[in-house]
Amino acid sequence: KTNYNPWENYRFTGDLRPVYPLSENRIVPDDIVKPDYAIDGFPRSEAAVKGSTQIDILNAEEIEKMRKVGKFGREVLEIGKKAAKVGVTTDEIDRIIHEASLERKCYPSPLNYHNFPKSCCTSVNEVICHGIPDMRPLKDGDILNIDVSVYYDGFHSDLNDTILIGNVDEKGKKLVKVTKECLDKAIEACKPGFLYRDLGNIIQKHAKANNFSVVKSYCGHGVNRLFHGPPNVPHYAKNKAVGIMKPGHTFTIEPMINEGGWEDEQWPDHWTAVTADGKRSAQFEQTLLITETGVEILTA
Amino acid sequence: MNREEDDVPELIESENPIPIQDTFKRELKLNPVPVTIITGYLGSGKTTLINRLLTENHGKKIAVILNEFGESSGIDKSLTGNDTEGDLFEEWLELKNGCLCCSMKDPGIKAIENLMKKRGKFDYILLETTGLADPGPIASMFWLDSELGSDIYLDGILTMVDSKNGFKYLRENQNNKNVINEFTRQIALADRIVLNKLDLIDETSLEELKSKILDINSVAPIYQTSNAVVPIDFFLDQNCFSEGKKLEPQPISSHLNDSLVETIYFTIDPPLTINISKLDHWLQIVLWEKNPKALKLMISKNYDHNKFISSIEKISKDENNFMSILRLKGLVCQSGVESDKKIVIQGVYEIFDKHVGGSWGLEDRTSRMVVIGHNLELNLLKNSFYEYCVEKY
Repeated sequence: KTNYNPWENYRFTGDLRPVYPLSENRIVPDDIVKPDYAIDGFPRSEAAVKGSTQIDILNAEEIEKMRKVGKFGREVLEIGKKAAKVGVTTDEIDRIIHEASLERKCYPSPLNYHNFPKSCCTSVNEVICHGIPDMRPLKDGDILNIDVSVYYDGFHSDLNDTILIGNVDEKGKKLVKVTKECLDKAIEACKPGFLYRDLGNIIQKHAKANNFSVVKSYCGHGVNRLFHGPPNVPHYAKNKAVGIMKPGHTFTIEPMINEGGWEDEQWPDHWTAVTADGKRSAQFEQTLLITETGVEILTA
Repeated sequence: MNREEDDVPELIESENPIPIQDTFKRELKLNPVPVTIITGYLGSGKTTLINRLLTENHGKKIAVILNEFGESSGIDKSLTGNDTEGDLFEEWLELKNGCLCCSMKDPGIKAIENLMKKRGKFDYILLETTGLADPGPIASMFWLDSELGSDIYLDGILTMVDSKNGFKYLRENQNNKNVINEFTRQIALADRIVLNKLDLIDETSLEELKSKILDINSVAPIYQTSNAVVPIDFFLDQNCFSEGKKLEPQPISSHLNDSLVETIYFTIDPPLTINISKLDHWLQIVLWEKNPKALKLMISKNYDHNKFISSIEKISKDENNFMSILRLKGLVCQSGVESDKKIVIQGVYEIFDKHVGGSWGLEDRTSRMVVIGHNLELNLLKNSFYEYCVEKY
């Protein structure tokens, strides 16, 4: 079996190349409860509320379930991060994450979501998000984002971290550090009464102060019974997001910050998002709960 | 380095290289292209209007994006300057008058921007929706945040009406007291209305139909015609989402308004200034929370917005009374040092935006608000606005 680049004529924006073939589809045993899209790839429960801006308010029982699936999500991500070293393929990290999810009786949410082929997203260097785990071994100097989502007892959690592989240059380290700070500052502001549309102002201010830009095409989102639901949470300033934070809301903030310009493109796999200028991008994500007085990080 | 005399000299990178495509891109950013959404039932004359735009020598470069191509669309194939036998669905047709026509099943921003990259800049883009569509979601999609720096912007929504069948469509679903039918939505969301097929309706029925339409939307200018003959400047380049124009309702003779959706209009007289943060709270309540109880609290002067939001879920809800806003437009005189700058408010369903318009200068600074929706009470809206938003010194 030889490895190959599936799109010889595509004009890649950076140095990264996909390494195909992808490994075979991973199986999820029958005793694990699956979301509606596991069978045919189509998330019909999400489609049913498409366009709605009504944000679910979870009761105490549902919040407990979110705490549980949040904890599982963090455990699985940490296991994946531990395995990420120079020479390890992103496919191998996917395998480890897939198995760690099953061990906890969780369904790995990305698997078959709109036909996504793997159980997590691995985004290297200029990949902004939704990178598909493949046969490329990690290289010294890469920055890697691993995005994990798991589904347990009817609820999803969603989180991601960017890590340094081997020796990363100063600018790369700064990008990763500032991105984490963008997320942390946004989380600090969360409490009942705060507007979802104001999070972007905080994130963009900090990114801009460090000469980085904010990706505009991908947003944070409500997460609970649905993998992706209202509210829509843009990360850029002056947006028209609908909604005020209220106790019981659960959602993600997941800023993607770029070394160069904010513009993005998509690979021919219709998933992998890359920077238009080929420069690097970092991301961090947490699932959050608005409490009576402030915010709780469910995926801490 | 050994080089032949005839070799092409090496290019030296300049300090700030500006590749040719980028100047084109920059020009687009500085002059984004307006998008007009055209909606209307089958038979309203949309196709006739579009055919006119694609054949007449109006001198404008218009890109028309149809919902579907082919025989059923009614678009005359003989319009094309060349022989097109092939598959039209992925292509565009260049018309003899310089316009362009293509079809996109689910037109997205990226698709249209790509079209312009390939085919050059247009003066206008006209986007056709399906006959039964609610133009709201499509408008929201094209109502982009300026931060996104798109090459296009939402200019307005044009609704075509078939006069002959107007009454029939108005009455659809009337048995269900809380369902706002598609026809009503298309009228409510319209920035411009064309009342077509005048030749097929008598004077009395026409006046009646007009008054029913004005009941729903009192502020959208109406153009009456036959055969979809409409001057281009009635509906193209109108800036309906950026300026605070056409807010005054047209006069209607007094009669019983039994429409589910109506237009509420109020002004702040005398022209006091408005606290913009409080205005935002008011908009959040009207457009997002929709609970009239909150507006009553605002009138009582005991209103604390944050407290209300935090405890809102514990308040008993009578959702049958909840307001349902389809369209909101306002022009407000803000308090503070920036008072000379107008504040323009636009809203489509739950999405709203406040932005700075031009200067008031010597113009009359009366703040005014138009709300089009269901379960609206003029006094509640006006008094809550007055008590809560007007700046108190």
